[in-house]
Amino acid sequence: MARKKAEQAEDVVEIVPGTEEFAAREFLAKEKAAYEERTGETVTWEPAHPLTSTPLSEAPAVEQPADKAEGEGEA
Amino acid sequence: MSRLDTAQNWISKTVESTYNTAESTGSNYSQVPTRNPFFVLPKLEKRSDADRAGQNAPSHLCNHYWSPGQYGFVDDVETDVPARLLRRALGGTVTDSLVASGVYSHEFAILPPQTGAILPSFGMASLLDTASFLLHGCMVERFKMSQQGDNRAQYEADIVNSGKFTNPHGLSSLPVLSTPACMDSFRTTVTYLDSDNTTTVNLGTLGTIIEWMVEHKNNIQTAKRRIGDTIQTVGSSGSGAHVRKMPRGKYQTTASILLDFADLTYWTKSVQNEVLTNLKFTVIGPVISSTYRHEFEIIVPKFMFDSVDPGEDNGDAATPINVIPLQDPTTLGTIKARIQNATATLI
Repeated sequence: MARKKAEQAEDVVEIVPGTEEFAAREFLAKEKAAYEERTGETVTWEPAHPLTSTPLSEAPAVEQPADKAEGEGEA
Repeated sequence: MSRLDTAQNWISKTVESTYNTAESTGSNYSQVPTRNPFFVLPKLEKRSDADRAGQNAPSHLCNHYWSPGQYGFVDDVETDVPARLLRRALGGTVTDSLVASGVYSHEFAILPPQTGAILPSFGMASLLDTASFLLHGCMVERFKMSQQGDNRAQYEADIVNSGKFTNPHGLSSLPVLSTPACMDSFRTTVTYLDSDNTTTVNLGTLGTIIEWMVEHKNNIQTAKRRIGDTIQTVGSSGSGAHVRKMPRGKYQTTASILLDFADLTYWTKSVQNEVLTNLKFTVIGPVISSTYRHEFEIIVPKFMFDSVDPGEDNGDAATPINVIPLQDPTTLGTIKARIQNATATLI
């Protein structure tokens, strides 16, 4: 019985910082609070628990336009 | 006789705290630059008995609802009024941050439908001689940003309102148009992160972009009419009702790019259903401070290319690409935006 419970517990994905699931929850919480303040309506929707956990992809440095990186080059 | 191009329009810098109650202080409005002059005359829908059996013509006309109206602005993209309109079109909360002394960044996404359907509303004043109106409960129905060839990036915004108005507008000290910043066409950048998640492709550096556009439509339900809606009267007897609520419908986002045909890269990406990220259309303007410039950026966080057809541009082979925005796993929407300017907040 205890072993079965332990197996079930393993199936539950933990929502941890640095994952898309955590970021989505943070985003929704912020939007929900702002919406409730702006409209006076109560938001009851809650996201369903995820089945997987996806790490946030680290955005690579975006290539800067030439004039930005090297200075203006204008007279 | 009034000249149409003398018409002036303003939107409030604030959003309504109660729907259908527009900002009442004139200095809290910004004049809207537009190349599409129009003036406002609220339209009252009519009902008649012309369809009654035995009638050859109506015997009377009855007033019905004040029409939601639709007013379109078209002009160069810049980081003041068009930025406000985009922020209100997407509807999400704004994260303001200080980038450098006097340089601010404002980031926002689409209001998630799971949160709610009421977009931020605002007031719009319109003036052409005696046609002086303050429209309450305005929302941005559609926002489009596009650029063709060497033309400066353009925005189009359609505004709808509840039908409620004040005549005359009753606002004092409505400010003059502040000249929009010069957003040079040749500084625009279009970039995306390739499917390997490491290579940023800069289409501007490749020099192959002929034109591009991004459009967001809210499909606002302007006819959410209910018995007991508020009545607005002109004079002593000209009455019609207006709506108390205008929820957003199912929104739609579309984007497309037209490139010089160079090779089969985009055709292959489309065929292989590659998932790409961070498609950024960045319109860049004058220097704010040091190397920091005004920037108006729309981001498609996650997307794929639709089937690619052969295209043509003045006799040259081209690749028209329709971008299919996918749901962003973080914001649950299809696009987000970042504005960089010299003001601390963006409302």
